[in-house]
Amino acid sequence: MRLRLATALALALALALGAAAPAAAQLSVSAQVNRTQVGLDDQVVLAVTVSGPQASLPDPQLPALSNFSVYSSGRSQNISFVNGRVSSSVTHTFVLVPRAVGKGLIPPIAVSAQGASAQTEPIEIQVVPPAGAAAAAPAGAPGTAPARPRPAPAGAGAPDVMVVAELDKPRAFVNEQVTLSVKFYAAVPLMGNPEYVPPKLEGFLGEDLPPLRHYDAEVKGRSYGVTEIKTALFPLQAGRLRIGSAVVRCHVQVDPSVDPFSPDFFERFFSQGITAPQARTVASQPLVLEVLPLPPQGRPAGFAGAVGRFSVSAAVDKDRAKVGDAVNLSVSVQGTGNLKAMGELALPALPSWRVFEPATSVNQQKQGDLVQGSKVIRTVLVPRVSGDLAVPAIPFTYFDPARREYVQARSAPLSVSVAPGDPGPASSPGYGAPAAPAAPGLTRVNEDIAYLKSGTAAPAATRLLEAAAAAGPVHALPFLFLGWAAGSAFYRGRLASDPQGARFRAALKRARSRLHQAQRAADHRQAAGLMSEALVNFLADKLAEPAAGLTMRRVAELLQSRQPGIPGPTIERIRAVWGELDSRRFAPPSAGPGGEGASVHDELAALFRDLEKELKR
Amino acid sequence: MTPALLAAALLAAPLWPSARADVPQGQKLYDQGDYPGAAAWYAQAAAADPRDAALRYDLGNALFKDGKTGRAIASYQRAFDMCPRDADMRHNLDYALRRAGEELVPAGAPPLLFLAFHLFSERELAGLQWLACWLALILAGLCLRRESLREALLPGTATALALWLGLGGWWLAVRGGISPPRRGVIVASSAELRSGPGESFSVSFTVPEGRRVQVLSANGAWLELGLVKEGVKGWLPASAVEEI
Repeated sequence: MRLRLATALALALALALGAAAPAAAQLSVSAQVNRTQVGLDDQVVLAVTVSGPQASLPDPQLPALSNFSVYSSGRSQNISFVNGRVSSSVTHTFVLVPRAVGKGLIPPIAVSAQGASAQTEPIEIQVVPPAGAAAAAPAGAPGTAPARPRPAPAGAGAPDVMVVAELDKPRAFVNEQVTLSVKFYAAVPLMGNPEYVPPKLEGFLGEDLPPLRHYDAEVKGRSYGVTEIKTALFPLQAGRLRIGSAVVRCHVQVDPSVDPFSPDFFERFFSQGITAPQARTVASQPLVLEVLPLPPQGRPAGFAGAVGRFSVSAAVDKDRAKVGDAVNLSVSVQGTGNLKAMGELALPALPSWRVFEPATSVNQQKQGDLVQGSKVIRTVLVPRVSGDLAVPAIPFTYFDPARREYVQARSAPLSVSVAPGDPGPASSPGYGAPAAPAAPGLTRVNEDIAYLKSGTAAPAATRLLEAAAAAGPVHALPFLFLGWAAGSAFYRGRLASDPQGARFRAALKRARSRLHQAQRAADHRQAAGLMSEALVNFLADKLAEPAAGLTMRRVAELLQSRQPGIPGPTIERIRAVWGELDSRRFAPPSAGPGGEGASVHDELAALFRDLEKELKR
Repeated sequence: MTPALLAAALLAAPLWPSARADVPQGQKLYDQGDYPGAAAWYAQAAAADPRDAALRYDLGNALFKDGKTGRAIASYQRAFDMCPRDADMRHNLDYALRRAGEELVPAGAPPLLFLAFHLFSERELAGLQWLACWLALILAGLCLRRESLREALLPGTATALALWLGLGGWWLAVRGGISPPRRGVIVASSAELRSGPGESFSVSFTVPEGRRVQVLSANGAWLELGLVKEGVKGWLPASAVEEI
């Protein structure tokens, strides 16, 4: 009980001293920008890294950035499994496009998971006018549009601003990259940077493809300044998937119609100048993408969902080792496609190696409007035996949408020359005495569990003791024996303390015993002698007299004096039997036992029964 | 004399081991590398004969080879509890425990003392206690009947028996044979122990698979677990723990 109490106290104390500390201590977040001063026509790359012990870390919540338009540029993740613990870090990349000249502040970015939280330090960014734009836009005029969109003569049916969304292909396979381009056309000067609302995507995994592109184009005879945003889409399911409208809200510069003869001409002229801003909201047409399922025919067993074009390579950090040494194996899958949707790479069976749990890292990049990168699996191999051990070619199966078929890439096979290891501490199952750590002539090659024990019965001693523990009712027997011994001892003690009483109580038993002997006697004289002896001894025991010399007369006197309640016929029955037995004892030997002898025996037995009831002590 | 003969007959019966049929089937699957199949077979056999330590041990081997370290440790622990003197069972349990960051002999404990403490299983200790009790009762009965025996046996034998009954009772109580604590093994790959019985409670700490824990209480499908060595406790879904 004391041990339990101490354990409980130790548990409670340790709990109170901070059992919950580790989770909170390991979640962290940091933010970095590639520059702290940026032109109005340029952009800032913000990288937010969240790291911690969980396999799925929380996404950072970006606060409202009033002076910037924010575009996600993707994320890269590193996950490590070491000794059963998962540590992970995710870097989220954002592209910030300034909206106005002045100081821009990125407030603290917070993350929280499982009760723990962390946040970054605020970052200040100075937004300066674009180079060479001083002449186009008055200095210090906030909200003035960059110089990119410029006024142009209006073409027939060509609006001032418009948004067009396009896909690079009308149909694609599940998990194949499709590039969505959203183009914002402006033929008139913009008052400040526009606000962009990306299209609603359902059934897609999206990755932004920075940077923004700016160029000029002519539509229906009208010149436009175009801003283009590209997004890589990976459809997650087959069917006709809808892409919603992209919306742009902006203020454009329009020429107000000022009547020089109006009474308030001067008031309006000085209040709004020659030009006036006008709010515009434009949206693109929704799009539909036809997504084809991956063909079931020819799908290999090891296919885990990778779509694109990949290659696989493997390498070990050493080509010579000893048994028990650690050899680092790196398997890299690189190529174009959605690496995040790629299943785990399964290593082939390596019976000559002990394989530790692998750690995986993903490095994703976007080049040429294509999502690409590499996924690296690192693990530790420990050779179990010596010799030239091979790491066979590691296969990786993917679907190539261009070729419309499944392709299996393979790494080159590897080989490691393994020498016998140094003798180490005993690791094999003990046999008798503990093995010496470095017994001469013994070389520990491998450590493993001992073999099966199928059919091995428990030792006899174990079975005996377990049977004793589970004996159940048999446990009562020793108690019964002790009770019997105690009762017997008590009875014998009582006999020793009252010998006359003992004689009195045992008289009938002894008399019946002699009667029994008389039945088996050889002749009637011997039988009569035994019966006579039984009668005399019975009466002597009951009357507490010595049997020797006891006569019928003495018996009658004693019965009348000590047993006044005994009826007279009983005494006469005793006398009759006594006499009959005497006559039989001294009768001639020719008279053998017959019917008369049996009647005397029965009469004597009945007499004993009656006397046992009538004689009182 | 009849009770003594009856008792002897009942006790002698288990000395002849019962024949176990079809054991080579599990062994065959194991030898062929079909560890899931072997584990299923041994699990069925062990359920049919829960007092067979060898079947528990074999089940542990199949589970371990199948990569289920937590369940293997639970099975090895049961086998070790039944046959603590078996070197193979001790080795395999220790080997599997080291995978989970534990050792069979706790750090700081002298190995010989640990082995002595675990010389007998709890059932063996209970059996020894009963045999000592029987011996004491029979001797007491004989002494009541024979005065000569009383002088010859007392007080030496009586003192030895009383000492053994006292020591054995204490040993059995400490080993948990009288009021056994609920024990378990983590069988999830990385278990997150929470501050309360539900997903809404925050994660307090993580425990690797194969770690032995004490089951303190239960609340629905959640168990409150304690780690004595670290002095911490937390809640985990019952499906992530195998009670021993």
